Amino acid sequence: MVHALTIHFSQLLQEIQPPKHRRDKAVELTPKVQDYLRRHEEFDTKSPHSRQVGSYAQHLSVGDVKDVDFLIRVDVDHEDDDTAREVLKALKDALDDLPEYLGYIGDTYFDINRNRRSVHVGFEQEDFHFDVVPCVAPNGFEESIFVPDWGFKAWVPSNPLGVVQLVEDLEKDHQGKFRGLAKLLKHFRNTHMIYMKPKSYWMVAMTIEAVAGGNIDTSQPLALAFDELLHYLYDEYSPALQRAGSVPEVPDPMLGHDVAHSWKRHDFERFMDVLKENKGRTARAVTTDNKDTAVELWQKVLGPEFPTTVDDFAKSYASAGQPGSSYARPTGLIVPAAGASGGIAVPRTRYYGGDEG
Amino acid sequence: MKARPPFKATPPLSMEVQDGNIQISWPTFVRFGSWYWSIWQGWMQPTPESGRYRVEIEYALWDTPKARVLYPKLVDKPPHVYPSSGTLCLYHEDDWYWHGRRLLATSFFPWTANWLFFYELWLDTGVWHAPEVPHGEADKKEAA
Repeated sequence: MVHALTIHFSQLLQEIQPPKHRRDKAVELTPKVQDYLRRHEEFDTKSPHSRQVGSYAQHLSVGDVKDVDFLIRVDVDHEDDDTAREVLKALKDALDDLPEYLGYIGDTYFDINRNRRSVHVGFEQEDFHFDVVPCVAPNGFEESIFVPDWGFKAWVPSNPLGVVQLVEDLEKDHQGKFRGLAKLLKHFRNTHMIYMKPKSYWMVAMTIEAVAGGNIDTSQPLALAFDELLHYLYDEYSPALQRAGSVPEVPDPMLGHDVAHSWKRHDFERFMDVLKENKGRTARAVTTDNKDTAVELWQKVLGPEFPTTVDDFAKSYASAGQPGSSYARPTGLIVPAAGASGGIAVPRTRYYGGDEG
Repeated sequence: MKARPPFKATPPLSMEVQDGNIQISWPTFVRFGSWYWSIWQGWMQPTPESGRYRVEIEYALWDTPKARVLYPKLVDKPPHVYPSSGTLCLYHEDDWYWHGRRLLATSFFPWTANWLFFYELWLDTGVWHAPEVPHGEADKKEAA
């Protein structure tokens, strides 16, 4: 008997989410920031004015993620590249008073190495910050947009809302496994790499390519699907590893260009070393018939956050699925409330029989 | 024990009515069979992190439905399964009884999904976290 440790993975995914207070605060403050910019007299925005994007909008945030990203729509000519830097500077000036407007002490800055397409707003009293990305959206947010790139001194195409929708579609098509895989891959990277980490968006793009390309059997338990994902990525990027000085291309899920064009060879080699070492562990973890061994191997792969026992978590998890108060979705998913997706009420029952039946 | 209606007092719902309700609520399930006997086979995934299970519900008019897990194979001696037939034990007759005017789509189907949910929890913890009636207790009560 192999051990898929399904409930261990459920607990892990719950525990690696950003702290609830941060998520709540980000939700509370986002519309206030958007409103501040919409009303700003010296920085013109265009209706519809803003959208949240990034890992919070994708529901893919993991661990100590402090960036809350959103787009602000401006009305300039994106074919005039001179306006790219002008808009970033104007946005920075407009946001300088934002912390005070919200009743905080804080600052804004523009880091051309890290945030070359956004303005960063930090608050002394909060453990998260906003990254505000100006954009030109000729056909609305749902189509391709243009964002200013400080380094390129130009407006470059982007489609962040398209990625948000694609993640939503993949999650639905793969019965809730897509987000689990993408979050595990980010957490796996955080566990093994402090420096030289590939960016979070690359992790999402890699997972999309693997899952949307039909390379991962998502009908399996999450543990087995994640084992397949690590093997797939190692095999996929091995040809680049064999070519001296080369790095692989990671295609943007919507626009196709290489999102990892800035990946350094040394950093890529380190990522491949981590993949190689751990795909051996996951292969053993999903085939051993010893549960303790499986848990120990997963703790090496996914860190000490991977639980040794799930007894307490299982009790609260079970309470959400009790017959008489839970619902079954058309896919068989058991949920505590019917919600918008509907579901059939699970009638009250007592399951009958011990070992004999 | 709850009073039962007289045997064959009312005609059972037809297989077409049962199947129509199943198709609305459980779209992965496909029916095989005839006017008096049917098998529905489809997929159920009880949690986002678990795998999909191939499930079969068998029903003959005037008989009690039976639910089984076809794939992946259940572990040896799981709780609440009749070992000889592999049929899931989804309710106790003190609490509920089947008759042909009931709908499979709102009884055996959601119970089967719910059974799988608690089976996943049992695999990881060794504890059945849902209400249950062990055979021993029921047998003692029956004898008394």
